[in-house]
Amino acid sequence: MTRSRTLALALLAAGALGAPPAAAQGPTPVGVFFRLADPRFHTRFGAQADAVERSIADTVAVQLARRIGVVRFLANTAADYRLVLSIDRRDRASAGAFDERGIWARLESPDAPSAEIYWLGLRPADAATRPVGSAGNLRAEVATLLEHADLGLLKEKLLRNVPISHSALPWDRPVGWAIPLTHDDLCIQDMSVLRVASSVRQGAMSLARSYDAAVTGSFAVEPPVPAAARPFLRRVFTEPVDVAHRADSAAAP
Amino acid sequence: MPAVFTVRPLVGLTVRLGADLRWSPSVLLRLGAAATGALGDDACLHVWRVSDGRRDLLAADSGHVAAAFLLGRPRPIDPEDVADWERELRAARAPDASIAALVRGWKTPRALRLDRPLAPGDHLVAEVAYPGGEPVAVAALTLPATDLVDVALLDLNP
Repeated sequence: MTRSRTLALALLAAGALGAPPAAAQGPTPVGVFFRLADPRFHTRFGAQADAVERSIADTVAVQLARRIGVVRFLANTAADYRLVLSIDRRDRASAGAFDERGIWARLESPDAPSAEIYWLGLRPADAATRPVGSAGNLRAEVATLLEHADLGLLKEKLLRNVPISHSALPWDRPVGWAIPLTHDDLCIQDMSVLRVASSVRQGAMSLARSYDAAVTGSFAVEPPVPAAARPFLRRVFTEPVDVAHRADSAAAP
Repeated sequence: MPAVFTVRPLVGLTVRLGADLRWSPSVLLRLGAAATGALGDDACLHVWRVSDGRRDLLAADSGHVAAAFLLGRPRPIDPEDVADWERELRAARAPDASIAALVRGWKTPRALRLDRPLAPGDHLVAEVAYPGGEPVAVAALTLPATDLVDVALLDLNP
């Protein structure tokens, strides 16, 4: 049986076959920030609001790191990719007293416009008279919410736009791409599907190509190992999905 | 309301309640959703009497979660007012559970002690604010000559 888990994370492979490989790297860092955007929540903490936001960002980063391994979540840390969660009204155009409040998630990236989703409900409309609570209580409330949250929307709408690597080693026997990260680095299993975006130079043209690639094993090369391949040894190897699935079906009893 | 009368010997004096001797008005301060919640977050209610640009603290309360406060003697609440409140909440798209809870809270206000009675013409300012001074809800009014003055505090961050 084919085991397939689509992570739908972009892998941006620089260059075409024969491109210079990158040195070994870790998962892409994603800065995690938290904002009390709803004035009711912000006013409650007054001058302490910044500290409360930083403290909740710490909790959020820990919770996300427990459940998502393909990127590295760093609380309150500057990074090219920033995940900003904020408490705000579900309907931001409204000024009603009985609006649902929840958590919005926005991904800010250097290579694309920001994308934002309303992710999780925190306070339904009938909880409008509830106190915000202490900083500790609010942090615990957010932690509990994230512990049981469906991460599908976050991955599909936002995190899939975070490249897990900006480099790869294109390989021709078998055809595929080696990524300078291990299975453990990415918490990834074989047959997980990645998207490879590459720029292929053909003649005078530079062509943008996108491939779905399945993780099929660890990269290995018969000696002598070319210098360019050394940083990729024992790291994730992916093959174009159709090739990988064909081989997987053939191997099935 | 306290008043001074001159009673002449033999002739005497007839004092009519509500005309010669006026009731001190009572004030019902109704809090919105945000201010009610804020009281559970250690916010305080303060009521000042303002005269000549000076604020004199009339009443204060903290540590009690309530949706309404009463200044002065208890007075019956007009059922028409209650119907208005419900319409007001429906117009604000309040869920049924919130309407029931708030109206119940507004009908059962927490009584605040006053050192001096209120008088028609008094200028009052009421505010719910966090201990750091961040205001949550405010109301300012001049007391009319009615028995019960219904005042809704405006949530600054609804």
